[in-house]
Amino acid sequence: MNAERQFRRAGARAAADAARQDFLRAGLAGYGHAAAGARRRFADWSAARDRCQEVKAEALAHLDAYLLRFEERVVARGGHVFWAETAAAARDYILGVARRHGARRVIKSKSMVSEEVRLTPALEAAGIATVETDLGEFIVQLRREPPFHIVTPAMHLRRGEIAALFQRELGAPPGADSAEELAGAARRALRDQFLAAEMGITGANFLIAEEGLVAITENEGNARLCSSLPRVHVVLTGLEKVLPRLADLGLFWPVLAAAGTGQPITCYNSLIGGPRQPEERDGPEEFHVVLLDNGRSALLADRERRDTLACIRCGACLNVCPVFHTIGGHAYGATYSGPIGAVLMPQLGGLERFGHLAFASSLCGACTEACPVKIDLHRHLIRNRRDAVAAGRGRRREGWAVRAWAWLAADPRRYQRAGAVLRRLLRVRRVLPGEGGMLDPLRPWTRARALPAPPAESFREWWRRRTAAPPARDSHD
Amino acid sequence: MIRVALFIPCFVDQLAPTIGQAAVRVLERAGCTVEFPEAQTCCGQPAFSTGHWREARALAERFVRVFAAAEAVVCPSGSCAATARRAFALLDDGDAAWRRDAAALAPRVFEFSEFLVRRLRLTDVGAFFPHRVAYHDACHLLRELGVRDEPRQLLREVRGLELVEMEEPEECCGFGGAFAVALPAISAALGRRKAANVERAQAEFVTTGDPSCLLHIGGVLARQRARARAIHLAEILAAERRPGAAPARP
Amino acid sequence: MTDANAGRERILARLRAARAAAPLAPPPAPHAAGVFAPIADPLVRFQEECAANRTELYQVDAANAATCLGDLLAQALAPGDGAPAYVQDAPILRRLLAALPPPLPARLRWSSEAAVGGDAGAAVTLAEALVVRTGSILVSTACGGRAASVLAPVHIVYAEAAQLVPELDQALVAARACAAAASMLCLITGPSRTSDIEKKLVLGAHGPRRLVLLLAR
Repeated sequence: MNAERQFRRAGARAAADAARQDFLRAGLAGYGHAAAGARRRFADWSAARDRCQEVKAEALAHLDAYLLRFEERVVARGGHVFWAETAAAARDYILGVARRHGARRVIKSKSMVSEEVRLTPALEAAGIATVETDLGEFIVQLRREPPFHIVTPAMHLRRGEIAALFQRELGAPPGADSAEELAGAARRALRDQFLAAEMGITGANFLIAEEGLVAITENEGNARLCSSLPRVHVVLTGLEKVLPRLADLGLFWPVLAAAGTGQPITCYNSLIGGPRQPEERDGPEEFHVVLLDNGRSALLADRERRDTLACIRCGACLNVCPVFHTIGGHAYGATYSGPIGAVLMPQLGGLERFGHLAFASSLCGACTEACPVKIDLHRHLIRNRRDAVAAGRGRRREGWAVRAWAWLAADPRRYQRAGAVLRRLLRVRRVLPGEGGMLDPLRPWTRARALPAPPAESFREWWRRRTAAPPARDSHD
Repeated sequence: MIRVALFIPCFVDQLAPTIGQAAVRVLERAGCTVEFPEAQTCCGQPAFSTGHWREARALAERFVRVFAAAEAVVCPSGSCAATARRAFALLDDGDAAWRRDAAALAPRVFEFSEFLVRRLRLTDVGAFFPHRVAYHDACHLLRELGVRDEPRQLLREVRGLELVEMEEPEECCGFGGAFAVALPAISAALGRRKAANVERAQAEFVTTGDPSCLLHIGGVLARQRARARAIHLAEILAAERRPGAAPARP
Repeated sequence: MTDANAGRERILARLRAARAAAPLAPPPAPHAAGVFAPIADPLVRFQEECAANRTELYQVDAANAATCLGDLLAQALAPGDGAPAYVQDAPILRRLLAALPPPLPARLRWSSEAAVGGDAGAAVTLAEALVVRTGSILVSTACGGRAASVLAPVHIVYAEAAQLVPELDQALVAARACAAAASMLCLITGPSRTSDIEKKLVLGAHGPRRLVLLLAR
């Protein structure tokens, strides 16, 4: 089954599950409330968004120079920087590092880029036990499923489901099903892993060019442990995550927190510049940063869509998206879901597989309004539709309908005659039985929605009658 | 006295002419001279949003030509007004002359409630509509045109009308143009949620300034045999107290 | 060293091709101006932020600091389990902990002697700076190493009121200075937490359950 059919089917299935939608929305309502509160902490949220947009645009406009500066600083502290053109190059490099250190156990903190390059399966295939340590990621890893949301990976699960999972997989006692008990069980299960692992892998939220620092934002402390305890620390990140200088975090830290989780600032904001330095007593002996391209440099060259690279992966666009509310993250069948995923996936994973996601939107614009770096999300979806049409990859029936309509509308008389015919057809249809049934040609509409009776007279017919007979000015029949 | 060139969306013209008639009535009552340039057809929104920009551009050119001399173009649809005001400029294809023409017209295009409140500075149009009404924030009206309070201000001045806020008033109803038939299950799920919010607010009517949302929400309500009905803002504002007549129920 | 690879050159070539003609932008003005409202009373605001982010804040006179730190440590270290307290080896902490009543002195491990271990019952460190705007504590590897402030279940910080800075902007200036020598810095705002299960807040996810700040006037 092709990706589009799969998406339709998964979307329709999820759309029929109202109880799950209620659960999702209840969780997101809490986020909405907190995010509104966090935005109010800014004197001018809109000015903050403008500045974020400017800073990111500057970083992208000189991405080569900023990345070189970043590399130079990291290397000066004894770190390594690897530029990975593809997902495979990133995987191979990290596998090589692991092998060189004889790593058998890897601990990971949350990284969507690691999902993008399918890192964990590659490590596992090489016989390296790889454990997700972010609580939500840990839960979905135990369930052998991908994250449901780029920031809150297990938001689709109820406490009871997690308790049953922990009983089965961790031997947790039955009845321990409060959030505290479950988080405690995960903490205990992961403690030894943290202390035993030879290698830690994290993502990055920002790469600070001027000072050569990797900025990692988290609440749990697991990324700090991953980057402190093992002998080797590998950072896997997209090469677009650059900010020109450390001072920019004075803006981006609170903005990311407000948009991402509705916090004033996230609990731990770490800055890491390299391996353990001579006078330091702990920390990894080796430090690697893997900069992933995987389609990003091509996106940079696309002036129209370059702003997509400004994304800070806060997840705000998912949280406000009515389509995400209805179908959830898994139905997209993509590493990045929601509006940003629909925009990004065709660029990263190919138009062939992900082009159809451009149509997974009502174009309501809630995503664009929520985006803290002002990415033109919903218009990018329209641009993706435009390009699909131009490349002859548009949806055929829709294309015929639009071209026919455009031809009719090119001439008011033609348009008017066609309208009259349309109304007559709709009237005829109404006397036939089975509206919304299998044989109804308008079933995609009428299955869930009634169609009102077409009027005998169009507006312009009424207008003409009215202007022809001026005294009958107020006869609104 | 201001001369208004009315733009009637194609779907209102053919399927919901009463909305256009109501808009004419309200505008005339507000003292405007209303014209309906008959050379108009469609603003091109369906072509634009499905990615058929060549067709969209041709229709946009017709629109700009037809309304080039208008003092004010008023349209009882948020998404069509937004198309003319915000989307036309995107269809430039590197053509500076077109960008100029589109930009010259844009500030003269108004959505109906926006025109009444912002341009005419009018919130009381002398309407009478003794019903409980919930306002749905149509997406393009809200986010493309920034119209949130204007319709509510107008509704608050309607005699007899009780304005109620439903839950999630700003969440998309799920219409989304081609989306409604391309992914009908998702569209309908959102429509049912909107309908449920209308019902929970115990509103007799749900209204907004976008006829296509109303077709969708109204369709769901009717299919569910709900008590509430969808009605366009213009139709509420056009309703008057008639001596001896039953309360207006269009 | 840089791992030379052909991919690097190809990526850079593509990035250069997409590069803007304009020169690099100069550093912007501090971000707080225009984006955040001014803070009326820094100390009051700091207290409010700490309360909101669940940092336990104790304000003491310099004279009482040693007693207070001793009490906090006694409270954090359960008598039964013998878990050690890991302490940043700094003159001020040596001095404050000099008169600790037994058996606590035997449970202290100084950072100059060993790195923090998984058995730590508490960690005591200093801070590089405190941020009023967010109620945050900036630490670096100089504060007892990388893991000290995250591995133990209780993190006790001793700081002085003079270390308070109003905005993140100033804390980042301090961080910039620290980054010359330290391989890691962390801006800590409250104890470790998660909301991954039904969006319910739980403290002490993987890091400390308690973050205690002893602020000396």
